[in-house]
Amino acid sequence: MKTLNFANRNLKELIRDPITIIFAIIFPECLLVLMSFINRNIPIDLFSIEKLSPGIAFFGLSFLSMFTAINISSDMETSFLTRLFSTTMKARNFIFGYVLPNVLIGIVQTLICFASSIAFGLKAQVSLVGAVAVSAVCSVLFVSIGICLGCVLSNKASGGVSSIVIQLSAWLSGIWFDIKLVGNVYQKICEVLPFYHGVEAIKAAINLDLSATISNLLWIIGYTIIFMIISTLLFKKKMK
Amino acid sequence: MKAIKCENLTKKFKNINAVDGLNFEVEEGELFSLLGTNGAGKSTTIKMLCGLLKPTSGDAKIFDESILKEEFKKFVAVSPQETAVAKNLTVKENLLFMAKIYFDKTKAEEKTKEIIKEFSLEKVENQRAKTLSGGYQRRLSIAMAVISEPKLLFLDEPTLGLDVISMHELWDTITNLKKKSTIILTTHYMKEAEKLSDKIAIMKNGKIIALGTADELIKLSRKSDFEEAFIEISKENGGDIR
Ligand SMILES: Nc1ncnc2c1ncn2[C@@H]1O[C@H](COP(=O)(O)OP(=O)(O)O)[C@@H](O)[C@H]1O
Ligand SMILES: [Mg+2]
Repeated sequence: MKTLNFANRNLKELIRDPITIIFAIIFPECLLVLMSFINRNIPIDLFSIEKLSPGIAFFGLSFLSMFTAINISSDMETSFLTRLFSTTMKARNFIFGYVLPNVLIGIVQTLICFASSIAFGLKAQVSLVGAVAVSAVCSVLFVSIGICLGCVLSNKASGGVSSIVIQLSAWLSGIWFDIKLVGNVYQKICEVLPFYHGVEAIKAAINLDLSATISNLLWIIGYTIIFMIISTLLFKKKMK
Repeated sequence: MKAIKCENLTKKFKNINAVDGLNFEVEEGELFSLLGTNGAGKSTTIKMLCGLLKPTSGDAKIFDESILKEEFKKFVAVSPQETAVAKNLTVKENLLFMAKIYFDKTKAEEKTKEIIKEFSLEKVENQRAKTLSGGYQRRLSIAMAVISEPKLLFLDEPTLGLDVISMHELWDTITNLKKKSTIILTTHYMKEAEKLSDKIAIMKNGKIIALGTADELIKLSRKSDFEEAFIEISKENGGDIR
């Protein structure tokens, strides 16, 4: 009840902020359209809709870390969280109150991305449902990163630093170029971080490649658990 | 029963004694003011008494429950010095959100209606908080604290930055709240302390340097009005007022 109440407030706060709509929906949508048109004229395998669509879906989710970080740091600045810390709300009410609305937005983002990808030639297939589920798990990862950032950064810094996370996630996920072509070290770095596995998991889910879906998803789940633990600890420290 | 009983309540930040061994009591039903200039330690005292900061040493009992445990939180609500409202929610949504932390849906909706009326927020109830004037924001912030029906209400500088009209309106609102809750108010504004309080504690450098009713403090300083009394008492306790 307390969790849902807080989740409801965060959802309203998010969808009433034009930044959310611009970054979560419009920006990824523009990229998708742009790259698809380029690909029509200069076909590159990497930007075929089957590969582009999972990449854009994942890229859109990375903005959830920014929304969460900004939400928390500005609530700290206005003392709104301070007020809530003096109530009987517990750390888990807060954490899940951030996770739920962002996952919902993540699911909507992915649905919109897939819907428009279908317009550009992605096959409408049942496996897309599984891919949306994988996206939902990736959303939790980005929210937990966002909670960590929001806890340690001021309101001024949180926007900037989380956009670095978004950049990193984009460069290290193999959306914009094939990581195997860049070099060994680079490829290794990508492979021990979760971002590349996120895109691969969504791709594999669409292709109904169960073993690849699971092996990549395990990376995401592992990192999500780690960031969830860190964010809970940081948040509890904030509450003291 | 005492609403508050401080026992050597102390908070140190590195080398500053922000709050230095406070021992005071507040009776249930009283409006008790902490009066002092910027940096006197008022906000730090309030933050400890509503569980937002752990004391470095000492303790306080809120209706007999120690602030070092969790139980006392059900008695208190705070309106922080900053106007702590959710900016993108409307006035009504802000209030309903707070009410739902404490009550079920039906009761929460009832309480929200009641509080909107009590705080004369009808005109702006569907307006987003960020579009409100300073006076309305402050009033909403206090209403969000009151909605939980706290036995003990903390108001940290409730009239800071308000124009004269808004300030007088808020004073009337606070006077009405006295009927329901014990109130601890901080202010650096002498007239506010004098007008609203049953008892006033003058704070300086983390210590209470005088405590009593406004009249008692005037007598103590042998001056003719409260403002002069405040200045005199502050001077006697170590040079300039700051
Ligand atoms: N988080 C903090 N870290 C370090 N010093 C602090 C902190 N909070 C308050 N102080 C210091 O403690 C003293 C009392 O501050 P405060 O309680 O905010 O005073 P007031 O509310 O009376 O203006 C000031 O000297 C202030 O600088
Ligand atoms: Mg203060």
